[in-house]
Amino acid sequence: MTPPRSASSLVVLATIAASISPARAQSMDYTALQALFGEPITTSVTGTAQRASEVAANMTIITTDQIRQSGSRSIPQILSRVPGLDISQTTSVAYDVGVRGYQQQMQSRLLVLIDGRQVFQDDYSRTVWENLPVNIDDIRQIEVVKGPSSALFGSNAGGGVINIVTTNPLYDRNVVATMVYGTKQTAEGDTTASAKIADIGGVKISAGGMNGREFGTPRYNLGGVIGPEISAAQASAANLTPRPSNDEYLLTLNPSHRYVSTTQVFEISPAIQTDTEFSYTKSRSSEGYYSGRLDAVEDTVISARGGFTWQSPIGTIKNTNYWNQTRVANTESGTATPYYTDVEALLVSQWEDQFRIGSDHTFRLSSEYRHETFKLQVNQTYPQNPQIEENTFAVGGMWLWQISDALSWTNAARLDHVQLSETGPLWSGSFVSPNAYNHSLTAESANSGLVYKASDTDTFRLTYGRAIELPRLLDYGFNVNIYVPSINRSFERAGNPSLNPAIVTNYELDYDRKLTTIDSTLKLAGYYQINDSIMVPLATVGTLDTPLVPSLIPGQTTTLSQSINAGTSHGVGGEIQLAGQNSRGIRWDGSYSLAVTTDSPGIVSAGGDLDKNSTPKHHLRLLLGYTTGPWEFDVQSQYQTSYFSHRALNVNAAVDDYSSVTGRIAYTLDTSYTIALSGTNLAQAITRTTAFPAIQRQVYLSLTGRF
Amino acid sequence: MKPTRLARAIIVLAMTLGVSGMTPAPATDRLDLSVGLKTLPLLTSKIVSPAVVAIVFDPASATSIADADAIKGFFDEGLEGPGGMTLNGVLTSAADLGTVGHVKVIVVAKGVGQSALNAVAAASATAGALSISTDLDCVKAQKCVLGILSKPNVEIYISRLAAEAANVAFAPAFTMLARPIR
Repeated sequence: MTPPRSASSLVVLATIAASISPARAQSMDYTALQALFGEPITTSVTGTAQRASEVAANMTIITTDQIRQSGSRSIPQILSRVPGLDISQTTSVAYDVGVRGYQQQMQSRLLVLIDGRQVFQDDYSRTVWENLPVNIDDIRQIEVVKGPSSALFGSNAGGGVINIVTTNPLYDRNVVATMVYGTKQTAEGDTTASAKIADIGGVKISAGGMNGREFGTPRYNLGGVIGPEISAAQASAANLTPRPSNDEYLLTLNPSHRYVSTTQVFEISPAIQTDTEFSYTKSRSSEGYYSGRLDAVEDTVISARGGFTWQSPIGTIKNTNYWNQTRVANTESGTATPYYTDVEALLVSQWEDQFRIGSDHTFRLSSEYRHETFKLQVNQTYPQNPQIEENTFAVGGMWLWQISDALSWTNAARLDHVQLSETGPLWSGSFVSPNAYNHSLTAESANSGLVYKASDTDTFRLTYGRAIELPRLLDYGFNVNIYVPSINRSFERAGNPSLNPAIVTNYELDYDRKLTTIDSTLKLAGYYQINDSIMVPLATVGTLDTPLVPSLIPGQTTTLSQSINAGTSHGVGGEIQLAGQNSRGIRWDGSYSLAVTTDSPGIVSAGGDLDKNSTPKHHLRLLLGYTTGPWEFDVQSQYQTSYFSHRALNVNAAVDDYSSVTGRIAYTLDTSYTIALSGTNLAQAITRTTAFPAIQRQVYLSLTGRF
Repeated sequence: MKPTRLARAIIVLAMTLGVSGMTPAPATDRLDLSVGLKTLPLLTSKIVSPAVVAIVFDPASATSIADADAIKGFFDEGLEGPGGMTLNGVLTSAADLGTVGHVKVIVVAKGVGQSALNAVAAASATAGALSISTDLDCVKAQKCVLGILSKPNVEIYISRLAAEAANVAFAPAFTMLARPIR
């Protein structure tokens, strides 16, 4: 007798339910697991613990030792060892990090997280690296994922993801303090103290700050091509005007940073773990903006996070909630008061359930709600400061199938639905209708990756990724009018609430081979990438031959600008890396990366051209290190070919090939105290690396105590 | 460029070549043992120092006797557990394993026969002890909890049946990283 279909279904469901087990992704002891498996461990890609060599993504993990040996107190400088990343330094502390081309100020393609919490700011879609609330000595590892990963990490992982993992006070005891003194009167202090509470909890506090002086390299007015090495005579011949001395201070704001963060993790039962985190961070610095300005910026971020992990009968349920409030005060063009301030508040609530069916299938179901507000306050005479509200609902799923010990297949998908609205005062004269702000969009992301361990030494990785890059909040809600009496012309720059996300599609083949005879690992990666609907900021979209509003904007001609989806760009390239270390304390890491991008005519005609040649095509890196007894010696050299650094609107500046050298010598006394001398840009006193002011050699002396 | 075709071809190739990565382990050496002992902090029931480690051989197998002697030698040379844990290695035949007191870790020498493995599993269950071996046959037979390979890459195989029988549990992340016996 055949059972009824409903009964059969129930039996199948019951069988599946009986075989479900939690995927077990509570916080983990990275230190013990890395020591055991001899390689870094991550939970970033699938939410479950995986060895770095087995994840279905191009991932590089920078370890604690590598961070220390870099000698750097700046995360972008530490990242500079990773092939495929392009580090652009615009002032003494401000950086932009590009991934596989498309280098530009305020990177919108690279999602940055600290312990899973977004520190990427959605206002300009950028990361203010000098204002992260993290102590370098407290970082457990930095995970770098190259390639679109929205389905795994969330929107804005269009080009890649950087997840900074700090020590977990439940497992790691970290009591450390560092003092640094260096050129440009740099003084820095950082400390972290963690403690366990009766084996069921751990608390950690980190605090620190720095003060310094900005580079003294010359800079010139925005009115033309900027060349830091241009002499006053050359500037005059090129009809450029040096900035007046009285605004030099404003544009060379001496950098400072203060931060404090606390983390609390408690295991309230064998199955339930809670975690909370609070942080405050504030920086003042000169910063290069994507529109080409070099502004004096004060950036303040307050955040709070709370969540739990529960190993329930239906899987490991994880809840994370966090709130970031960011306030940016931006002083531009020689004015004493902030030209504008923007306040962004982001609330995120994430739920996920990870479970296994049998021993070969791991699943993660997830949902995310994001509520974000953005208010831009511009100093101008008429109120037109839209307050943007963005509500995002996302659902996703991940399936990891361990087909055999040698072969695994990871698939992930995510659907984002974004609703936009506007609540602030709008100027009736704007050419953007208020109704346009009632806009919604839905976008899909997907990732798929096969990992095949062909032998004990050979691993192939074939991946596909489709990711979304949401528009900057500023691009939605920017509204500025400028009247230039000398030419009787007005400029109306408005937000574009109808912007669609850029879509990044990536196909990639990687090959890793362990070369045991030379204690090395060879890594090869090749990719082909399509970037659709690339957003070009402030493209000219029209011209009016009459004043827009004669009483307010009297210019005879008005140029209308807004950000637009301009076209498609293609990228192709890859990386080759040979890295290793031997038992005699010698370590090495040599790499070459290639990134070639080609824009469609639409992008160029929109005045963007932000992509073509915006990244050096060829990049060589070589790191050498040696440890003997209490001594550590490390040197890193890089060479990159010429590129166009984007500065003012429609104005690019060619940057020639250049090389750079960083290094560190350290001596450790009785395992507790380390004294180190380190430096960046050691090869030349001044190096021009962007269209912004040239960077200078920096040397630091540091003392670190571990207790 | 036709990436979808390329992807399809490589998937087919990978599926065709997808075979078990298990390879026979050589005789237990110091590195194998060191790797095996690094799993101790990942047990949910912590092992307190000093701890007794039973080194099990099969009197009927000369291979296992020689391997057990070598393992004992590593402990006698001062091999420590993670965090400086003191471990006292005690040689014992499988049949006598139950008579060794306070055993929390059992290291099974390479070459132990099937009947001796049954004795190991029984003693492990009684004592609630973690059993490890570089002899993957032990874990494949669901008699040892962990099978250890240290070269060229660290690979750890776990028998959930043996772990349950011995009432041994690990940190959740570790169980995700160890390869289950299929």
